[in-house]
Amino acid sequence: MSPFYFGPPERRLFGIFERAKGAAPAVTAALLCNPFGQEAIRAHRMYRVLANRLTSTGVDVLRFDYFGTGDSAGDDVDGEIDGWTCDINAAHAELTRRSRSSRVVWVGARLGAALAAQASVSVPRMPDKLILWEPVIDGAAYLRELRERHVLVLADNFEEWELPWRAMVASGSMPLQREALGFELGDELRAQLCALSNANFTLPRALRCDMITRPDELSVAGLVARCEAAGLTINQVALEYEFDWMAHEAMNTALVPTEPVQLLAELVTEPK
Amino acid sequence: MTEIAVSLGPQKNLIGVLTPPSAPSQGLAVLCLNAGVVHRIGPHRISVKVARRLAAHGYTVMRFDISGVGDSRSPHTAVSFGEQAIRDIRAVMDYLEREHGLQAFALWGICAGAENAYAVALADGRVKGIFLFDGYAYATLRSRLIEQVRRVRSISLKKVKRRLVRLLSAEDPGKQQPPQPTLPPPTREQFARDMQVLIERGVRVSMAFFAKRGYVYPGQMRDAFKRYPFVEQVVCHYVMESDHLVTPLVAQRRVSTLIDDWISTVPRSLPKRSNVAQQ
Repeated sequence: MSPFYFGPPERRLFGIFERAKGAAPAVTAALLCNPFGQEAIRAHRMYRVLANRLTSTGVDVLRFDYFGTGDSAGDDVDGEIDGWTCDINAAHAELTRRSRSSRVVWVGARLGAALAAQASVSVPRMPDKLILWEPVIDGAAYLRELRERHVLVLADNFEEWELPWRAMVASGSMPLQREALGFELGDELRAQLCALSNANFTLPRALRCDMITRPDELSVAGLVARCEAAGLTINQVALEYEFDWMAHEAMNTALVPTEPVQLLAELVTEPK
Repeated sequence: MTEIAVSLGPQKNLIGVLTPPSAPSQGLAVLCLNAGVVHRIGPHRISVKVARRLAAHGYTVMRFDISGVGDSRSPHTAVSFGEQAIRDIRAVMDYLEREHGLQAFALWGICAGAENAYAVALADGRVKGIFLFDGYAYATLRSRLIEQVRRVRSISLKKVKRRLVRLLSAEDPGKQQPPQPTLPPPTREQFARDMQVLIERGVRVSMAFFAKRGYVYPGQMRDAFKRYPFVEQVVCHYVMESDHLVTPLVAQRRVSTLIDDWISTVPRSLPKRSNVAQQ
């Protein structure tokens, strides 16, 4: 496991490259694209376990943090969608520089899936496969969900102790608009999320695209139809497991659910 | 500010990020410890924010994952989780002493991180200061009364329903709790003895709590240990705007300020020869 920084001096990104175990060179290289904020904290351990599983099956793996997130340079408020899309392209370049494998697969979860789709249209060589896990398609709804969960956490944590958090919100000392479960949202990111919808979700560019959703998820139907109209077949994969992406107290929830990790590992390594 | 990714420890299994000082060196290294199972960036990235803020004031800061947490593998040698955490933290101090000539260390952590900071401070004389957020707490008569009254007042259908939902969902094997990386809490007497040892050694101790089960009013720590001399020498804060993981930004700013105040009181030492030039 090699932790390192890459990218230009003004936009240094933290990454961890894990080489495939065994003597044979890897045939596949995987780039894991994080979700946003608390969801990324939730996904960290799962991605690490996924990476470990993939390296055991002959896959080189790069995990990394977008600018203004995780260990990468930048503050919370510096994060925005266009920059993060460029970060995926930079990480792709870093992965292909380090790995000699001929096949590249991207995995993107939640907002990371939307970013990966957007990045796939500008990367010089399109990924062989794109795996989108519960992609955020409706940005305004996502912002609402973040806000609702944030309020729920505050209510859960403060009301039991009769602390005046609502008064603090009303007085402006605990602003809600700019906070999402402990992360500060910049104006640009909020505007970009508000604009993100099924109508302008970037259609992915890849030889193959898998989309993992819950069996009862209907919100992706429009996107799938748009893809098919554009000649890209989406392989929809139903996952029964309900992963609570925004769970706040990570210590009280499953960090590494077996089913999604197993499924992702299979989708990354399955032949073209 | 250029941060450096490092793999360290005897088996190079510990993954961390070094934030070198971007102002004249204070001769003091600060270690940000894991809050439970959250990886080294800390809840809501607070360890990154604190590291960069302290580095701007001349401190060398390391955030890292202890074995089995975040990106750090467990070593081949098997000891208990608590003992391994102490070894790992000391290994990071060894690294900073060897590679950067630093001999004085300050540790800060949330929850399990606070407990590890406390344990390492007792085990290693190089530790000159500890900042414990949501560390060990001890009940008083007043805190027990407050909790009883709240318990009775808080009974509502909604809460009973929520508890039931939680209980039922806990039966889902996919939601089982992972083992908690914490050390057994010291008894009240042991805690008092340990703190006295640290105070007499000149360690600057700052503690911060938020409202929770077990800590329910601002002066609780002082009341719990009013017969013990150490309590006059520690700084104790009650961060009303915070929760367990310092979620509100206003709480994050308050904790950062408390850390600034604490670190300015921690004794430092002149660095020894450095094997690696500070960047």
